[in-house]
Amino acid sequence: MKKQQQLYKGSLNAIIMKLLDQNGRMYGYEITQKVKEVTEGEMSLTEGALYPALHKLEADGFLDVELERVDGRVRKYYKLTESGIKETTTKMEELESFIRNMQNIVNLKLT
Amino acid sequence: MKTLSTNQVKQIEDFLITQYNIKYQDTRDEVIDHIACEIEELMTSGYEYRTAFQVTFDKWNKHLRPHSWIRYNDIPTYLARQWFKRDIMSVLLAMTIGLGFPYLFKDLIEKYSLANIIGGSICLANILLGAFLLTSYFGSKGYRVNQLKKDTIGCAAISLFFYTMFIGNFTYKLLPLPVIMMLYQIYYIAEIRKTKSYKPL
Repeated sequence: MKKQQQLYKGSLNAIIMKLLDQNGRMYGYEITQKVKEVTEGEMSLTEGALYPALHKLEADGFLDVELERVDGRVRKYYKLTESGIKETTTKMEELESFIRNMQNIVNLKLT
Repeated sequence: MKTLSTNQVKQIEDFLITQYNIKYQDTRDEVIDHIACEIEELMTSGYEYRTAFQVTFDKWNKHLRPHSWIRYNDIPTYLARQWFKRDIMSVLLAMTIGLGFPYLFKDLIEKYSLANIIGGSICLANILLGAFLLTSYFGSKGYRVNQLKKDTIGCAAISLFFYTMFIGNFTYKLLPLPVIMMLYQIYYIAEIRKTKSYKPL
């Protein structure tokens, strides 16, 4: 599991952007739970990795923030901007190509 | 799903302030909601509020305590970690260019007596860049903004000192420091432009 976390690390931004693309807007805790749910607990997104990634995506102009008062506290919702949507498509293509290449290497048969 | 009372949310906020000195609202709001959600989840699975509070803060401790490097000694680790590499790289790059530039162009600087013009103008530019950054982000608050504002004041002050001490007597050997300060100022402006203003609800 620990070794797998290292493999996921390089795709963190792509994972976050894909989730936001699918769900419209999400808050930090919701993102961590969604990742856990989708990967059936195989991958856990720590707060220490999530928030720096969200801040960077926001600084790069790929995310917008909406504040809302929920249950007596302020909730920060993140959603993709126009450029964020385009970037998600690019990132997904890159990720799919990477996965294809990895599969080709893993399935390589010596003749 | 159990929900925390307003009083319990206030307790989380107070703990963040007293225990971790989280002084800026944007960071506090972000962390309070996440911690509250985790406590609620634990309470739903049968934990008492006090125990859930303890378990959640034990987990968050490594992210909330101040970063170990002196430059970030009042900034939560999870925030400082994202700047650490960039800041180190910028220092190394500024040092390399700053130290290399005057020596590379030593002959040219001496032949045309450019040291005073270059040294004086760079020092003045550093002071102006500092003033520009401070006035542009006067009302902005946040860990990164405040750190960059302090840094830019430092660079401007060193440049002012250099200007008053050495104007008229600059040689190429005195140029590295103003050049390094100028590169820092450019980096600080680039970094502060990435920060977002926060309007609390």
